[in-house]
Amino acid sequence: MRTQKRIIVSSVLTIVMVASTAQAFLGAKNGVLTTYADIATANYTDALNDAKTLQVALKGFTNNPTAATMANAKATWLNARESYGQIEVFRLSNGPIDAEEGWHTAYGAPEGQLNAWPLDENMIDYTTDTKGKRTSGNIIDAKGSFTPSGNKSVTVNVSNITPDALAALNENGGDANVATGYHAIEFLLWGQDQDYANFMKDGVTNGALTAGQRPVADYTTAKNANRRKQYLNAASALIVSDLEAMTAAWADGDDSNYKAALLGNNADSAKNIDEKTALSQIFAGMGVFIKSELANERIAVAVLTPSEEDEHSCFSDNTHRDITQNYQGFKNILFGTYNGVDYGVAPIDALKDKSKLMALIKSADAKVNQMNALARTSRHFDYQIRPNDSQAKQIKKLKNELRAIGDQMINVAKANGVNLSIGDVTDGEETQL
Amino acid sequence: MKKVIILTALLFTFCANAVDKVFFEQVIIDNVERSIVSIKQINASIKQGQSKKSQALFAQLVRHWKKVEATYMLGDLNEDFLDTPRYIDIFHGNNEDIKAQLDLIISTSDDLSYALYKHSHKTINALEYLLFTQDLSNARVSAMALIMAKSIERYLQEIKSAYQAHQAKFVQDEQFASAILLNTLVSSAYALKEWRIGDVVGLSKKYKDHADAQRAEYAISQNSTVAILSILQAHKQAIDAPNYKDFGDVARKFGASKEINKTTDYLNQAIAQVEKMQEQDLLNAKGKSLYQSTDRLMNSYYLSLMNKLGFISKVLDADGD
Repeated sequence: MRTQKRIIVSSVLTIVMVASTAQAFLGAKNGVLTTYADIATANYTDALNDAKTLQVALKGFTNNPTAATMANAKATWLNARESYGQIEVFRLSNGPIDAEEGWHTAYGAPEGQLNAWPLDENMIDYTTDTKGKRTSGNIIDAKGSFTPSGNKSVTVNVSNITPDALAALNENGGDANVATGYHAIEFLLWGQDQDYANFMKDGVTNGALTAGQRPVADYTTAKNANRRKQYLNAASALIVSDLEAMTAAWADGDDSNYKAALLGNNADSAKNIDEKTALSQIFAGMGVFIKSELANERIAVAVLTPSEEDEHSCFSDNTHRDITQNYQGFKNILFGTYNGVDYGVAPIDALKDKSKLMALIKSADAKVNQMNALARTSRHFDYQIRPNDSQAKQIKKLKNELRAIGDQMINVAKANGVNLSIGDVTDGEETQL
Repeated sequence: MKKVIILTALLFTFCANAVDKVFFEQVIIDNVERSIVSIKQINASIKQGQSKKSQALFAQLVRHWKKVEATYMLGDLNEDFLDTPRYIDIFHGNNEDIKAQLDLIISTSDDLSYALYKHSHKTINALEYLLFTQDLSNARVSAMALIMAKSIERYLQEIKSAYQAHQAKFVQDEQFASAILLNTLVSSAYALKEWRIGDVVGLSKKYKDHADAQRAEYAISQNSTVAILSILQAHKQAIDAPNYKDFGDVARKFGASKEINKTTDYLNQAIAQVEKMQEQDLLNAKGKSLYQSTDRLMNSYYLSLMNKLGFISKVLDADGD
């Protein structure tokens, strides 16, 4: 219900920019924007480096598939998610990762190719269905070409599973037809964890601390082993190339890229982004990300259903880290820090009364820490959201607090000279719960 | 003596400004209690295997529950209860096909204590599916229906207890109470006109020119107009009641007489229209006309009243809503 009232407000109110007297606007370059951009540079660079490490590990695994090389590939995937999780806060702000308008759409807006979720894993490889039978009719077992399900899907030649073929299949025929990105690799490394018939029964890979259990044999003796290897390498190549485009967009020393435009330094002045517009998009994007994407889509849907299918990393059971790092990414920008380093002027600096926001953050921190501790020692996220688990209530509270933090971005923005409404920090298309 | 005068003055001010607690007791609490009685009666009827009676009682449950839902402010009083209605009712809040899931559960022999693990499996929507499409003489169906009824009752009891625990918070601050009530009414009016009427008759943004009776809230039991009327009646309880101080009185007190009178007129028009409607009328000119009426009602709440009553948005902003 609360969700709906925010949507109503959103449909009526509009962003009103106020004439600002904020300190942030007095300098030639806005300090908040500089900090934001510098963190983006560092974070995207880390994500790219981690993705390259993953790519090397996947090549090592596919060249010599053993339990050890598979474990190493999994470890590098988990590590890559640590840096990638933090850069998600740069979404929803019309930046290069998912720009919907502006010259920088030329960067390809690769978010959907990098991190689309939830995915229909049945499209990629075999699973165990509700009746305990193994499924077929997927990209891996396709001969020649593959046509995804859904309206207006287009047939793609998959004789060889290449980056181009996967890119053509991704979201071809529907949003759930995800063929690329971290979660496609996750599925090919871990395999199915969820019992589609009943996740309480957990009959596929039973155990509170048990993730997907794909056998190494899938890459050695099993039918289509070579196609799985092709898939992993093609998917990781796409991740690397997409992140290379993003690091180029945010690189220092390039007066023609997005970072230069955001800071008003692009040699082509027509590409420069108005400072107030940039701040407005960034603050609103932060709000929408933490409130509608993280709290609603990634936590609320999973815990309120409850549904393992709707947890973020449902094959590897790494969802607790996704949530943690997404939240950390938000805090990086809010506080102007990254990996413990102070990057300069932060959005929160201008906020006079920080008490309510800091209280929410303190409380959310405690719940995130608790979720992590339990995921390591007692039960993964998919067990913590079970209706009879005491932790489900805490995760719901975390969801509420993250939504409230998203709303607090209105006050943060105001302190920095930008007026936002509830509607601006809420995705009007968020799942109704 | 001086202290007595001050205390008396403070007390008088407090009482004069407080939202009438009669509203809280006779509307908010009473609607929940009636819903609890209804679900208990359904429970008993299911146990007796009385299919027709259960169906009739279901309509009564819809009537009372929709009033609770239309004026649900508990999440604003305590965020722990933000999501509780979702455990009772998933209309427009869930993309799952619970019919297929329930069919699957009926066809298996899995222990129901975990087969019905999803909250959506125990909602009023799930209960409707069982009562109106399945055979209650089937032991498994009956057992499932009882689990659903018990779950609904449990959450209604939680709502009642929590409301009672937070009554003081509601009645002690007139502006806060008015703000969360108006916000709730706006939300309810939007959902009414857009989802319960517009989506069916093909006037909503999402389903423009694509009418479909299956989108009606209670398409299976044909109780959709019952629900719509009940929601509108709940609004009347909140803004146009003769026997206690309601939101209409508060609005007039703050100089919004013209606005609240117009809102009340739109509400009464909509009620009069629904009272003459059958379920199938949601697809024809009557449905379209009702959509227009409820659209005017929502705009009147949102554009006229909220603008006139400046304190509403201040309270909501301060609360982070």
